Parts: sequence; C-alpha cells; structure tokens
Amino acid sequence: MISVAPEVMNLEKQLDLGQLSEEQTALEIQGLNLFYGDKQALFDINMKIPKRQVTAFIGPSGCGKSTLLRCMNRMNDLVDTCRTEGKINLHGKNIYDKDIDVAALRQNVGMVFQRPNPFPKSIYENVIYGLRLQGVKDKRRLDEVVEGSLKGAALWDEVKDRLHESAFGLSGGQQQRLVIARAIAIEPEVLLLDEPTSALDPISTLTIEELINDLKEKYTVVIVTHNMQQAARVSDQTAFMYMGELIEYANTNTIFTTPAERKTEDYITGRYG
Amino acid sequence: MDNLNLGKHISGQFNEELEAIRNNVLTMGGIVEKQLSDALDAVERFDSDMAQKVLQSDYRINAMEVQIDEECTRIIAKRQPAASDLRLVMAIIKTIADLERIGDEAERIAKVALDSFTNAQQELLVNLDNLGRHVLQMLRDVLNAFARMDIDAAIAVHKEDRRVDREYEAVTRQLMTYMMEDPRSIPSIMDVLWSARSLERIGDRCQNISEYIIYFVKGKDIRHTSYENLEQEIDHKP
Repeated sequence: MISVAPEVMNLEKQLDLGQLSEEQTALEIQGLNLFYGDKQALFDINMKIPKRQVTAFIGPSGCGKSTLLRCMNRMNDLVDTCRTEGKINLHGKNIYDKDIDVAALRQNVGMVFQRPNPFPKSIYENVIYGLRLQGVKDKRRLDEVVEGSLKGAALWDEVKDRLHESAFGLSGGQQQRLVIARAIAIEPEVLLLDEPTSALDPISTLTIEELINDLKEKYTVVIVTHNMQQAARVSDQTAFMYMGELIEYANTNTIFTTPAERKTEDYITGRYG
Repeated sequence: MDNLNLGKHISGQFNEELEAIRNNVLTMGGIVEKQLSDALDAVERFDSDMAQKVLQSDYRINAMEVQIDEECTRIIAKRQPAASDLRLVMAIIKTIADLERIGDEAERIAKVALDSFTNAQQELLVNLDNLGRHVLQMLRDVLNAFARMDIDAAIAVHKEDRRVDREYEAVTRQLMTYMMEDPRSIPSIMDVLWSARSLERIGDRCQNISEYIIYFVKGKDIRHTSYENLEQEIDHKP
C-alpha cells in the first residue's frame, strides 16, 4: 500500500480502537450483560468509546443498541426488572458501583431522546433547568449559560429575541436543539443521543447532524440511529449490534466500505441474512 | 457467483439494477474483446475491410461506457450503496474506463492493417501477432474473472502482465534491429512499434481490471503494490 504524508493529502486521521489509551477513552464497557427479567438483552459487550469523537450504534430494532445507550447513564435503573452485570468505567470508576451518585452521573452523561421533550416553560427556563436544580441563582451566570448553550446548540440566532416565550412555540427541529442546549448547559462530558432526528424533517436533520459535528469539539457524543447514512455521515466510529451482541466495532470508514463481518455487510447493504 | 451475492437485497429493484449494470459491463467486455480480436485478424491478413469495421464499431464501446457510467451515478444517488455494493459500483466505473481505452487501442492497431507493407516488412507483423494473441487471452481471462469475481483468476492475470511486458521488450529490440539494418523501413516499422506499444498498454489495462476485481472481493487496494508484497497484501483479511 502506498502511503502519502497526511499533510500533503489532508487525510483524515483514524484512531486505532484496539490501542486506545486511558487518556483517549471516555467510557470503557467491560463484560456487560443485561437482563430484563429472565430475558437477556445484552451479551458480553466489551468496547471503549473514545473521547471527543462521535460513536454511532446501528442495528435492527430490538438489537439492544438503545438499551446499551441507556446503560451509559443508568437510565435502565428506572426499569424494575432490569439487572446488569459487568462494568462501565468513566474515569476508571465503574458507574454501577454502589457509591455512585446517579444524579451526578447523569449530569456528567447527558441524554437527548427521540422526540423533543422541552418543559412547558420559556426557552430561557428550559436551558437553565439543570442549573436551577443545582441552586444557581446568579442572574449574570444564568444569562451567560443560556447564550453559550444556545450558541453551542446552533439555536441562538433563531431565538435570541424571544427567550422568554414558551418553548412549545418552536419547531420540532428547534425544540430538539433546545433540548440539546439544555443538556450541554450543565457541561456534561458525554452526550447520549437516542435517535435524535427520527422525528424531524430532512433539513432539521441536517442541522442537527451539523451540530453533532460541532459538539464533538467539546463533548464525547454517542448516538443511536436507525438511519445508516446518518451514522455514516456523522460518526467517527460505528458499532453494529445484532440480537444483543456487539458484532463489529470499527472506524466508520471501514464499516461502510469494507466491514469484516458478514452480518454487518448484510445489514448495511440491505440484504436479508 | 457466491462472491457477488447480488440477489439478496431486500429491495428486489436494487437487485435488478445491480444485475443489469453487471450484465452491461460483461456485454461491453465482449464487444471490446471482439474488437481486439478483429483488429489482430485484420493486421494478420491485411484485411482492410475488417480494419474499417473495427474503426467503425468503436463508437458502440464509447456509448456503452457513457451509459454504464450514468447507471452507476443513478445507483449511487438513489441507493447509496455501501460495503460490497459500493465496491462493486466503484470497480465497475473504473473497469469500463479501462475497457473503453482498450477499445481505443484496438482501433489504433486496426489502422496498421490499412497501411501498405512490402513482403519483407509483413514478416515483422508475425511478432506482433504473437504478442497480440497473448494479450487477447489476457483480456479474455480478466473478463472471465470479472464475470465470476474470481480472485485467483484475477491474481493470475495480474502476474501475466509481467510476461507481456517482457514479450513487448523482445519485440521492441527486434524492431530496432530491423531499423538499424534498413533505415528506409523506419516509417512502417514505427507503425508496428506503436501497435506493439498499444498491445502492451492493453496488458496494463487488463492488469488494472484485475486490481479492481481484487478490490471488490477483498476490499484491498493493491494498486502500486510490488509483486513481492502482492500476495501478502491480499491474504490479509479486509
């Protein structure tokens, strides 16, 4: 294979997922099994999610990708019958340890869902909701956070003149960006996006995708998507899951041009296995 | 056929589109092969009618290249192929470009049959014919390899190019000897030399196509890889 100096060709640098140092790793999942009652939903998941990169999970419905995403900030705790084994390490500490403060964890690992879920409050109050819970009262600081977060979510220019109007007056795409602004207002390290654009039109989808690309400068982004082309467009790493197992996890370029596993190939090329 | 696995998409229409495009490439390959074979026959027999026929048929190859390119563009726009489907489309786009150029070279060779040669000079063309048949076989082999996406056959073609190169060098040396012996023959020998050069280039293009086949099957781009490293590169899993 010929090699060209990257500076000549301006080539993308790819991470070697097998060789991620602790510095480069945001989340490390080790031997994760998950059960809903008697039914096992995740089987021995092992992977490292790199810092300040976009990692996408793809796979057919029911393959466990959303379940895995929910494990990353312990949203599955809310399901009574749910039981997990194994570890998810954040800063070398297992988030399933007994002494973990789940509220603090969720501040650090924020989540955005499929349907935009703004609170029935003003745009301003939506963004600072997390800070209010933390007891922040300093008006100047709140104003700064609102502006910074809305800019970070690429929404500021559209709403700066109506910050105190109801969030419900925004379009679906704007609401979703507002929710992202709310999530980044509390400065998490990791942002989990569970099919963030599946309820949006194509143009709003592209805006969110563009935003995701900007978000990775500051945050580690993990996204679950049904739209394979979206995974191809926005992510640096792609993980393919099938029936609760992690089948293949590699650089997105590799997954979409030369996947190693037949199951991955069949799924992304739209074949029945 | 198992390598291609074209019939298994959930979208039956996509299956049909890929199958159609592949058949068109094979048809185009068949026409190119016929053109080269006719051009060689025309030169061998000094058959100017046949040479004319070759010159007049080249437009079909050009038209097919344009049409298949269009089909590929449509597939990329509408289906967003990934993985092996994407590699197939990429391999096809490149293959037809090389096939079209092989058609051009065949045309160039056929033109030699339109020139007048003395009896002594006609003997020169025997050398050309051997090289020509060798290259024609190489083209057939690579088209068969393409039809079956047969990686072993593709590797064999890839290696064959070395022999064609050596044969071309031998022909060149011989032609130079003739030129030194009889400078008056230089103009017509130059024509033969250009034809030999065309044949050698066809060998290179067959080698290119074999590289696209390997790229499709293995996902490995082995262009500009040395012969020594070739098999090692290919054995490495994609």
